[in-house]
Amino acid sequence: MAVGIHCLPGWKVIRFCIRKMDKIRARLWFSVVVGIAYLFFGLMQVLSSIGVMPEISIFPADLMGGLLLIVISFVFLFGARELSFGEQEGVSYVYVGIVLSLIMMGIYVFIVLGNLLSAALVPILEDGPFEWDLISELRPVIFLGVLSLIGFYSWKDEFSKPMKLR
Amino acid sequence: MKKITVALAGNPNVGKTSLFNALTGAKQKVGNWPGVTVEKKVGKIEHKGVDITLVDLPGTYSLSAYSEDEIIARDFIIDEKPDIVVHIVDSTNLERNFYLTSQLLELGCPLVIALNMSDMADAQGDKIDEHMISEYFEVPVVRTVASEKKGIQKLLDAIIGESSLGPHHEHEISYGKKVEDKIRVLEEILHHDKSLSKYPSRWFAARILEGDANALSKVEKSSVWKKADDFLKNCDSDIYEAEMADKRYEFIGAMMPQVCSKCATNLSVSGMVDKVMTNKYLGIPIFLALMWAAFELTFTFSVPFMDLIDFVFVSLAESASASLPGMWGSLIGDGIIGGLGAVLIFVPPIFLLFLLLSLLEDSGYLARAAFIMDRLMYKLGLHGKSFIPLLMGFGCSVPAVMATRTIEDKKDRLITILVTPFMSCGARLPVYIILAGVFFGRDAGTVIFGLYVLGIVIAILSALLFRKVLFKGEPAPFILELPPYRMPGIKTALLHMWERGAMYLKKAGTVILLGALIVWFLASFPEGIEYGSEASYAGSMGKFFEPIFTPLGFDWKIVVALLFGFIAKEIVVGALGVLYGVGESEESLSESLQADPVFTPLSALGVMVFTLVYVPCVATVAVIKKETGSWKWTLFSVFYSTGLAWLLAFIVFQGGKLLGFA
Repeated sequence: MAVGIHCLPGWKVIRFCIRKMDKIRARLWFSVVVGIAYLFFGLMQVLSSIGVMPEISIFPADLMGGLLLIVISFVFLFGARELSFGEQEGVSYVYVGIVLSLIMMGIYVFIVLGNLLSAALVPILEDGPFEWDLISELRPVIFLGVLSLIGFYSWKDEFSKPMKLR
Repeated sequence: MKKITVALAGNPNVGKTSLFNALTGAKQKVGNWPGVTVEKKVGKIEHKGVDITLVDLPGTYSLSAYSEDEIIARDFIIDEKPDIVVHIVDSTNLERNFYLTSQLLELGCPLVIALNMSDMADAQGDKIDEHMISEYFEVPVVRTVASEKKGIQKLLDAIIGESSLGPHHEHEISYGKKVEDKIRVLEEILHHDKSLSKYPSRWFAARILEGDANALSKVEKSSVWKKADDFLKNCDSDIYEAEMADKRYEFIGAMMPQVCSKCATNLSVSGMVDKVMTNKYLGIPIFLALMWAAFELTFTFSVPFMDLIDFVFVSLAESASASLPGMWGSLIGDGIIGGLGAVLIFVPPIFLLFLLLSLLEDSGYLARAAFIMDRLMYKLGLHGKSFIPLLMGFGCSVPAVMATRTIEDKKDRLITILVTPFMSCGARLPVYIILAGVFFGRDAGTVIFGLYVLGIVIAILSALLFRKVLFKGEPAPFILELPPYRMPGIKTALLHMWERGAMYLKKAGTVILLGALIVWFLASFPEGIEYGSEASYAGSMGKFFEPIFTPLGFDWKIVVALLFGFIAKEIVVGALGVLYGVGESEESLSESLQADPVFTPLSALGVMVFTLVYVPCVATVAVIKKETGSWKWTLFSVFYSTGLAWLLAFIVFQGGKLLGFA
């Protein structure tokens, strides 16, 4: 990789460069894994929504939700591409991808809560049965968000600091 | 008591309105994008026995004003001569902001500099020396954080202190021998007309040499015009303007290392986010994803709250109709409670959508949305700056049309005014929510999102058509300053939500209630007829216009509701609530609509498309007349949008039938 090209001899400098390289490698592999996971689930969701695949609970037939996952996956994969070329600024894509996926996760959690409230009101307002199933509510955007949460807790201090460019 | 006038001036989006609110306790709208203030606003305060009149001016990058809002700001400073000008400077972007400072000093304005957003500058590691800035410019400099009301008292003290000093001398920047010689000759020419002596001579001569249209118009009316014109014929104003701008930046560039020892050279957090959000391939998909998620959340999360409100109003209307005799029961149950309830159940989604849009706006993301759409919009004949009024149109078309004042070019501005009403305002949302909720079930959120996107597409395609047919030419170049991203404060977002949502509530208690009562009257009379039947006045009115709308699948009830929607879009749902007699039965409006054979998913989609496209409301028509100053363009807007609405609803209904949809 191109990382470390500008390093000068000297133990301290080498150690700093190795740490830097590790830091970038960690983000590179994280964005590859998370990006592929989002892409896979997004494609499956799109395929099941257009009837190519049968709908199962982990791949709900939700076209727009599937496209949303694909957009998030591209953010991570763009970051992976830049980082693999040694471009330090590629980290931006990883951080923004994490924040974007967490925002979407949060929005879907509110949607689940909205559905729960609606179901809870049915027996009260309409004398109907309470019908709500947590498993069918757990969309990929929610459980994939856990991966982003790991990334967020690992690097949260770096989210609010300017990036020092070499 | 001593009285002084203080003008708040500065670049767009440096927090002038926030500072104005902090100083006066007012609640003027603030936003994290340039161009929120398009008119000057006035507030009064008292500090240490001095009566201070504060004037919040629209943002301007320089005193060589180009757009209408910039001219308002400049004219006030030059013509009204406030006792003090507070120049609000964005501490995270000193170099660019100091350009206006240099011009204000040249003008000889009594100045106080407020280094606003100094907390953000500190956070990004900038080391700003305000004492050094004060020494350089010879004016008081105060650090402020307007959003947190920090530094406000010090700023007021500095204003009072500066106002008690004598006249200020003008600062001079040397523009080099060639320019200086020209300025001197011009000063000499202008000196002979006393009417021009109210302007600082050097400053005024420099503006004329730059080819400033506003300054030139003043000389044209003077006795020295011929002489000045002869002299200017040999001067290329563009070259002189560029040379003077270079010299000002040279001056600022020379002082920057002294006043800010560590101004950011790293990639800032905003820079990192922008790298992704404004990416040529990812920018638009991310924008669409965020907007879709906002609509999905709005619709799904507000459903239980809407069900509760609906339950309360249906029960109330039912009890009123049952317990009050005859006409009174019908008036209270069907007219007032039915009409008002049909509108008030939409308070949760409207407030939630406004909250989400406020969060996006306050974060600074909406300015990026304008930036990423610029390339596409330029190709389609719209000015990039048009996107901000268009986005404001999601809230209400009236301020959105007013916000077009930030567009300099008259053709660009007129095109934007004509297409802004196609952006789906909050008043149309109730129509979508009720119809999409009833006829599209789980896909309701996506259908509503689709309607919003359709509004944008119609606006863009109409702009392209207008550019090709009515206003030939290229859009003017677009320069937009991207404000730094900020963590949106929940308090500010809630305040914005309330400001916009309160308009809806206010309308519910006034225009919509009145509209519902008129519809009830028309549905109940002449005496002896069955309520809401074809024999009623409403029925006769609807039947008269029905043939025009039959090809769209609309019956007379829909026609009456749409006709009343011209007053305000919220009345559409209120009128349907009255016409379907919500108080008469146990059924809510949703259930009544579902039971009506006229309404199918296809005709419901047609009604939604028609509502999206046809003329928004009387208030928007009035503001279009005011902003264009032309009845011709106002009537064009009304007929074009209504004609297009009919055509699109026809395509949806008849096209859908041809394709085999119900």
